[in-house]
Amino acid sequence: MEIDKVGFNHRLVSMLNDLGFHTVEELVELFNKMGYEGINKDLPLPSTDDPDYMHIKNRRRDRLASFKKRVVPRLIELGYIEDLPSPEQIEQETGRKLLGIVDAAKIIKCDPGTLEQNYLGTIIKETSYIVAYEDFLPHKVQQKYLFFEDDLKEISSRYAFNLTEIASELNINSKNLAQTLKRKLSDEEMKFAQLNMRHWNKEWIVNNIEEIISRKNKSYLEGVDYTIYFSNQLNSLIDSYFKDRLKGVEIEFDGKTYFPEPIKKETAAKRYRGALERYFYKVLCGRAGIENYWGMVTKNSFRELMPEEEARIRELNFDLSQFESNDLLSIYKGLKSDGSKKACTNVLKPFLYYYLMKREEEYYEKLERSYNESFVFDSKMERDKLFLMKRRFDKALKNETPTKASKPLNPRVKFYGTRKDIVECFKTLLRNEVGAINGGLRFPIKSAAVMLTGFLTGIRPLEMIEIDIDKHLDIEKDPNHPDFGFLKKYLFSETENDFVRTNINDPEGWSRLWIDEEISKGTYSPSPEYGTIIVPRLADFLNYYLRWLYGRQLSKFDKGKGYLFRSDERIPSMQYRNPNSLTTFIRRWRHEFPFLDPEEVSNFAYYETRHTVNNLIINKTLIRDPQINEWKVRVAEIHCRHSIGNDQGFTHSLSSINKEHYQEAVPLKIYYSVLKNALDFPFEHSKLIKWEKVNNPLGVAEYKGKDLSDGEVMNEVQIETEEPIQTINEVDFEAFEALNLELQKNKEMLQTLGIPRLAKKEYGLEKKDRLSKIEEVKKIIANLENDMDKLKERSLT
Amino acid sequence: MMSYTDFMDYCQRMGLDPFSYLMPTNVFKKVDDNAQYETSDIAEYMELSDRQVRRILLKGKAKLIRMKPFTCTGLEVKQAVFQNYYKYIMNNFPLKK
Repeated sequence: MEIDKVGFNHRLVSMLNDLGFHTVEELVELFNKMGYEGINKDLPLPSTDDPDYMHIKNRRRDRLASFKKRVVPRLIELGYIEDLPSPEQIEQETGRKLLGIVDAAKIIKCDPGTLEQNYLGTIIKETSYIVAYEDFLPHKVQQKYLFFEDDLKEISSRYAFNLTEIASELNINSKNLAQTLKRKLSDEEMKFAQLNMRHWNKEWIVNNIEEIISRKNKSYLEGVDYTIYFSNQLNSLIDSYFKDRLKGVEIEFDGKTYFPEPIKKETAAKRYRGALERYFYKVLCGRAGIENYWGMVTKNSFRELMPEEEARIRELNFDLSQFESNDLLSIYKGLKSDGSKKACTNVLKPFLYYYLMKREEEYYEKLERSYNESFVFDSKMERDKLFLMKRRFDKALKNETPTKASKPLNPRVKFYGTRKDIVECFKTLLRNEVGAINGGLRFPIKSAAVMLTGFLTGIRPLEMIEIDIDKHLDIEKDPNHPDFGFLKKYLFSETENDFVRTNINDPEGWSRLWIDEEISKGTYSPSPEYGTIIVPRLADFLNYYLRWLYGRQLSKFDKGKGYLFRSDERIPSMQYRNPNSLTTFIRRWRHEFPFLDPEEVSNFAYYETRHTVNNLIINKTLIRDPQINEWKVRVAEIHCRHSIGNDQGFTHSLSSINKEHYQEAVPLKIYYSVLKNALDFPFEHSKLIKWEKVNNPLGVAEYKGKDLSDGEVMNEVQIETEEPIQTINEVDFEAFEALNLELQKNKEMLQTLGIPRLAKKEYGLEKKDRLSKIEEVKKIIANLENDMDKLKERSLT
Repeated sequence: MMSYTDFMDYCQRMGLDPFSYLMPTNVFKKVDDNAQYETSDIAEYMELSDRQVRRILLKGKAKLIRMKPFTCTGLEVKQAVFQNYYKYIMNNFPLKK
């Protein structure tokens, strides 16, 4: 339709014609595209320095006014432009107040630009705002959006908290929380979690924090899935193989059982599965003629393949029945030691026999069918094929697998620590004083707890990561009890011949834990019925550790639940994936242990704790009661939960059959008495040496370096004089008496000096003089006591 | 908050050297538990004024033997000083509650 027929006056028509509009459709297109502002598109506003600035501004204003007031209403009337409601009409209809973008930004507490760029459609949902020329006809040209006030207020109340407040409610350090969110949230989630640096979505974070923490870091390398290269047949065979092995199906062929033992644990099955998948990937690569496919990127993944190499693999039609010695050789590519080659065969052989078993079953099924139905089947040929296949498998495995285990280049040297070594190791970790090379321990208390638990209970690392506080530790389970969540303590009662409960603060109190069959190594080494008992110092320390642990976990979790050693302390159910990751700190720290020789350092691993505890009980303990002394070996076995047999060619004194089948069970009393003499030793140095003189006389000479009976902690040590003086011979007795007399004199003097008034009266000492005299006398007393001890020792020996 | 006696107990039981954490070292090393000390004596060890020492002792709720001169036993002094420097002592202590 032409413009002059619409009913505009001639002035308006001539203006529109000047601007280049002749039909109504052109005007409508312009309006739909650019809104009111479109009419001024050929007349941009110049800078304010321009002499024509005011003139152009007025022309723009006039044009806009006539377009808005005359042209657009007429076009709406004629039905060319959709009739949109005005903001006032929308407010009346909905009964909700509308706000412009500046006011909206004030409520959300940001600037209008950020609101428009980041929040529209994410935090401010599409129902909470309306768009100009789509939902309403704006009065002003600048109006692009209008916002419903109530929705904005709801949003601002949702984001009313800062990170410190949220962190304190969750019981996490706020820096820690900020770091976690930054590392683990995607950019889109971050927009939802956070309005700006000071305003966070508390409800969402509190509800999802557990899931967020347990996510892998963004930078975490995912393991590669090699099953995509396998045929469906091979994949389903691997699936059924592990199902059957876990169920306990024996692997037989031709009436002979080859692999009767099942795979006992799911974790083991998972490990074997990964290995098997990698082996067959290598087989495929070898068959496809790919070069250097065996270079490892991470522990469990090879280098990435080029697209053409991948295509070559996909073209292969590999069937397991084709397996031959060349395939085994391509599996061995990249493996250096004979040991690892043998390990390959150990995983591969049962699987190949399982495949044979399946083929044999198929064969017999077909044979049976051929007798009953009219099914043509050449039984002889099939049978020959099967046996030839077995022969080929056997030949490959036999010829290519190294028969003799070669000697390792660096033979492993076991380390058997002394009691002093245990204390040194524990103290070194707790002190956490480290040079720049190693880097400090993140949680020294945790590392110390791991080592001390190992040294005094002999728990294996793979059992350590499975220990559940609720299930395996003897903790107080009543939530109303003041000691809720901490290890109970017991004293051994001679009359009841059992443990009797005592106060948790009792320094002599023992405790216990149970390593049950489920979590024990190979399910064959659980704790006895009365549990593995824990010596008082370790019980104390584990209680310190538990207190620390409960302090670190999120506030919504209860005490007394979850794993004892967690990969993330904030969440009780976070388990270590791999036992090695719990003990990796030893690799960084063994250089710091003062008791290790340079050769021993490279060999020191967590397992030395088990060697040490077993050796301490058996070889480094002297129990005065000869009857109990006889029980040491049995107790060590019970405590470390293993059966000693032939170890590196050295057979221990008792055969395992003797112990397992021909002896009564170890009574709790004996277990307690041996451990009391073997592991309940003091940590403080001078006391430890005294203790060793009684319980391990031979071992005292083993302590290297200087005897630290100097005044290091002498202030606080109360020297015990338990040993009878009568045993001292007559010559030394007089000297001893003289020393004793002098000691008493000095003690009296110290008492007098302690009171300022008396010191002045008796000795004429005041202020500084008195203080220095006190220090002097204290030194004299310490020296006298030392001399007396030495005298006593000399005459006793 | 851990008390001084608890702290010494922990250290002794776990074989740690308390003097690598305690501060000011002079007070804990040289003061005798059973002897009596005036504020001026402690001021000597701590290198503070009489008045500052008195404030520390009162804030730490040390039991006094007499007011003039301001006197209490070595153990009380140690406990009050321990409370005063608690934050700094616990900074490196691995077994903090």
